Order: sequence, then structure tokens, then C-alpha cells
Amino acid sequence: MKGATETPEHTASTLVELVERGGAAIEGEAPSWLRDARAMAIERAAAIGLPAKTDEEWRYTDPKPLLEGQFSLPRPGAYEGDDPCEHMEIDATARIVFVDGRLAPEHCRLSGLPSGVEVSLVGTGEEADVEERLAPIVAQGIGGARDGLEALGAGLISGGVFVRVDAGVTLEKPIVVVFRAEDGSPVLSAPHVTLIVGEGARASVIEDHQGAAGATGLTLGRSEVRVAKGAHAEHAMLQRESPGRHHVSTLRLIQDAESHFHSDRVLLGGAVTRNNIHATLQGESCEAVFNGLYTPEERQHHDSHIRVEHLAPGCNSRQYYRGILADRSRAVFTGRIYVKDVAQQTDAIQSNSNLLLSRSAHAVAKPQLEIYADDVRCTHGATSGQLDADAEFYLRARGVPKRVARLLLLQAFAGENIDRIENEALRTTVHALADHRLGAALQRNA
Amino acid sequence: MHEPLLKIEGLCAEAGGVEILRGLDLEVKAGEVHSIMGPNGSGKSTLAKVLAGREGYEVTSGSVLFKGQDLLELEPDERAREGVFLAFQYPVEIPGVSNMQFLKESINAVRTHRGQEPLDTVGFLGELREKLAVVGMNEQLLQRSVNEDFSGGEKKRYEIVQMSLLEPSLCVLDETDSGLDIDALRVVSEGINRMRSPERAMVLVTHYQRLLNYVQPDIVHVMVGGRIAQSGGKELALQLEERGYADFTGVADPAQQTNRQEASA
Repeated sequence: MKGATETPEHTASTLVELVERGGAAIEGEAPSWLRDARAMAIERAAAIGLPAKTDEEWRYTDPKPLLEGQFSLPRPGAYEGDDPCEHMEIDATARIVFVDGRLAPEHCRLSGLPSGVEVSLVGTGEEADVEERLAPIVAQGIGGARDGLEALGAGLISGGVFVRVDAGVTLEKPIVVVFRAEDGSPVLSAPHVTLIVGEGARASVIEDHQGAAGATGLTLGRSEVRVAKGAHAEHAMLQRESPGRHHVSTLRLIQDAESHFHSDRVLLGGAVTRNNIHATLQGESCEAVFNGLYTPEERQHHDSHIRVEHLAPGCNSRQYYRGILADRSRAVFTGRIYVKDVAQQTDAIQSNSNLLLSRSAHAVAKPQLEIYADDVRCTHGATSGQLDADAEFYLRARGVPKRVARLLLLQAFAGENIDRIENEALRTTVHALADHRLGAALQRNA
Repeated sequence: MHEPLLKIEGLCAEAGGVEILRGLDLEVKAGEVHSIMGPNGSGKSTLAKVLAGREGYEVTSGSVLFKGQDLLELEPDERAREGVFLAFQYPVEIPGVSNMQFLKESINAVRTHRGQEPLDTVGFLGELREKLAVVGMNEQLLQRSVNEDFSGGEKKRYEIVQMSLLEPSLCVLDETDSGLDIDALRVVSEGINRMRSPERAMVLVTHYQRLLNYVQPDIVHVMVGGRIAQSGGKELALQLEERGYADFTGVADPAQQTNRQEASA
């Protein structure tokens, strides 16, 4: 165990202790705006409180392991080792790599950006003058946080990326950001990704959260996306952390009129995972798609919590979340569609389906509608069940072996959402990861 | 002198605690076409499902030998690879699994079991095109999901395509004629007739005689109350068409009351 001998310089503490000590306890050589943001996040967390299992929003996910585990912040300085990451075969505009919360400059590729595109590093001590653009967004994120954990995710910022695409600029290839957990000691990393897409512009960012088999600790991630009028934005997150590491991430999205947004979120790894999305469609005639797949196994827990707010007329939103649960795993889906009184002609769909491969797996679906306009179309549907026995028999009656028949049915179920993933390379990667994972799950859950 | 391909003795089976097959005996030799007719609820479809290995049907006694081996010991997919084919009364729609994936997995599972090389895509398409043409289908269906949005007639024709692709030695067709218009019935019958061969046996489970106008059976059985009540040549089917099943059930249609007294054992 590599981590056992490399004790981080920062002493470990729990999030509860961190919040009790207060903002002044944060040390290090970070720039002053960042130190301020961290202090602000901790103060906000203290003010609104860390989540408890008695909170309605945390009823099915016990936050205890997140709050009471001993974590230490990343050591200062850059990561200078070999590139330990798994890379997709992806044609990217830029690639940024963090290992254990520290920038890995040798493994980043940031050169040759098209004009009108800014990609700045955050929290690495190397950033230029990103402060004045980012600080207000961070402050807004901290201020709008609904619980202390979200506030910490919004403001702790151990490292990350700020991407801005100017009005009218089209970025063909995605920007890929890899957050790799390598250390066996429990590192708390708080990756922060911002994507600002100007009027009529087009851009996409892919976050790949991954970990070595023995990595532990906690990711407190934050993605801030702003989509200006008539712009197109895509944001994808692949969560393939090690099974010993917790993962909490929040996507905060604000869309202006006539803009388009597409989210793909694939949850594979992690011990306790909380996937938050908070979307505000504040301009007229926006479109937003939230596509998700989770495949917990063993004792993994995948919780997705989505809130889509329609504040203006004529917007469409789609939530498509599917899960395949093996072994003793747990999954939670809470999706809320909120429609303000002025948001007439809202068209919102939410759908959640779960396949349970084992009697010991457990899925909870909580669809919620909160509608104050009268001329809307909002639908939600949630299903949970086993593989279709008639379909399985039909395939087997044609000679297809049981395991293959079941895998075909699982691939078909997951495939509907995997095929919706916008980026082709990511889609291919997720297909391969899911096939491998589901094949192994079937052997255990025969 | 030939061992029968299929030998069923004293077969009893139940579903949901209800006994449906009650001591059924049947012998089918290679090259023969048998028709099993009978009123609703007589157990015809249950027999087909028990032969294919559908879960939920429990065999309580009796035996089924296929090519001399205990068929009931085998899993459904093993039976299929050994050469038992069930054409479904209600073929199942499977969204998200393409016909291409399905047919390739199926034929290569069967071929591998027979010691043949798996087919590559080119070889597979070559085999398939010919079979599709017989029933008037084309390969555009390969991109679609299994049976999804197929009409009733297409589903039945597609069963025949699968049957001809897999070249089974025992074909059990469960009410393949139900829901077909006369043109589709002719096409499906043509597909079945092409499959007749000295090495292959067929069991046609049907409620009506009309399929038998196109596919001439060698032996017709009447099934009542979970066992074979009478067996005969194809004239038996015509007799049934004329007089109904009242002779066997003891319950007649009003129009067929005159036959009531002739009820047989």
C-alpha cells in the first residue's frame, strides 16, 4: 500500500471537525481569493449545517461516512510522477490531469487552443487572472448551496479548470479533465470545473473521475455551467472511482433563452456516491437533457438527486435515468420538476427505471412534481423490476446460452441511455466498461 | 426399426399447482409430421412449452426422450442446441436487442455445438437472405429490435425464418396458424413444407384444421384433458373439422348434438 507510508503533510480530520474549526483553520499558500472562498464555504456550511440522515433530502443515503471519515487535503505542489491515468481514445481540444487533487503539468495538453477559447487552471498556484471571473460564480455557488456538504463542494476547490468560450465560437472537440485518485491514504479533493458558453457558442467538457484500485478518501466535486442565449453546451461526467472512495458531485446549470444543454452522467465506481444536479432554465425556449446511468454492485450506493427548475415559458427538459443493481447495492433516484407560474408551455419528462439482479439489491425512486403554471405537459414514470423472463426464455429457446441471453438483455436496457451519450469516444468507452462490469455482475448474481 | 426421435411416456405436468398433462404418450419418428389438435384447455400448448423447457411448468411424472437422451434434464438453451425448436404462439418483443445480434448469437451457438465453424457477418448474411426470401421478408429487419413493431403475420413468418436458419431436428409449432390471414398462412405453410425432410420431424399444435390444408400431416392426434384421446391419419382432422371435439369432450356445440352419443374413450 503506497499510501500507508506517504503520510500527507496536512493532518487528517473529518468534515465535521473542519466545519467546527471554522474558516480560519484553512492554511496553505493558495491565492487570497481562493483562501477567502474556502473560508466562506466553511462558514456557510456551519451556518446551514451539514446534512443528517433525518433530513428529507438525505433520507435514503446516510451521510455519516462522508462526514465522519478522516480525510486530509491534497499535499501542496504538483504531481510529478508517471501518468497513472486510464485515457479514452478521444480527440480533445485540451486535456488537463489532476492526480490526488494535485495538477499533473507533465500530463496536461493545453496548447493550440482556438481563438476565443480560454482554458485556465484553478487552485494550482499557477492561474493567471481567472479570479475576477471565477470568484463571483464560486460565491454564488456557496450562497445557493442547500446543505453544508454542497457548500463545501462549491468552495473548497483543491484544483480545477475554468473554461470560457466567447460568443459565436464553436469548439468542435471536447475539453477533457481527468481527476485521478491514486493514493491509498484518504485524500479529500475538491475538483472544480466551470464552463461558460457565450451567446450562440458551442462547447463541451468531459470530466473523468477515476481511481486506482486501493484509493480511498472523498471527492467533493463541483461543475458550474452557464449557457448564454442560443448557445449549445454539453457536460459529461464519468465516475469510475475506486470502490473504497466516496464521491459527491454537484452540477449547477443556468441556461439563458433558446439555449441547449446536454448532460451525461455515468456512475460506476465509488463507495457512497451522491450525484446532484441543480438546473435553472431561466430564459425562454431552452432545451435540457439529463441522461444518466448507474450500475452499483457489491455494497456500493449510488444516489442521484436532480432538480430542474423551469422559470420561463416554453422550455423542454428531459431526465432519463437508468440503473442496474447487483449484489447488495443500493440506488436512489430523486427527481424534481419545478415549474414557476409564468413558465407556461413547459414540456418536462422524467423517467427512471431500475433492473435488480439480486434479491438483496434495493432501489428507491422518488419522482416529484411541483407545478404552479396551468398550461404545461409534465410526466414522470418510475419502474423497478427484474429481467424479463419471457424475453430470456425466447433467447434461450433459440440456443443462446443463459449468461449471453441475460447479458444481451442488460446491454439493451443500459444501451438505451449509453447510446444517448453525445461524445462518441465516451460512448464507446462506457459501452466497454458497462459490458465488462455487467458480465461480471451476472456471474455473481446467477 | 428406427428409434423414435421423440418418445414421451406417461407425461404429467402442472402449472401453478394445476395438473394439465395427465399421462401423455407420444412417439414421433424422424421424417414424420404429426398434428396435435384439441379443444381449448386440452394441454396442447403446455406440451409445447414443456418440450421447450419453459419455467413454471413442473413435470411430476413420466419421461421424454429425445434422440435417446432425457430431454427434461436439459436447460432450454441446451435443448435448442441439441435440435429442438419451438415456434412460439406469441413471439416475444425484445426492445434494444437487434435481430442481427439475436440471430448471430443464436446460429453460432447452435453451429458451435454441432462442431461447425461460427459464421462471420458475410456468411451469416448469405445464409439469412435466402431464408428471408422464402417468407417474403428482407434484411432491413436486422437493424430493428427482435419482434418489435412486427405485425402478427410478420412475427409468425419470422419464427419460420429462425427455424430454417437453425435447421432443428424436431420442430414444434405452437398455433403458428393463429392470427394469420389466408395469404400469410400460405407463405408460412410453404416455409414449413420446405423444411420437411427424412431427418426432421414436426409437431404441429393447432386448434383448427385449416393449416393442414397446406401442410399435410402423416399422423393426427386428438388431445383432450391432458392426454392423447385418439390418433389417426389426416382424415381424422377432417372429421374433427366437421364434427368438432364433442365426440371427445362430451360437450357439444348445439349444431353438433347428433354426434354426442358417439363419444369415444
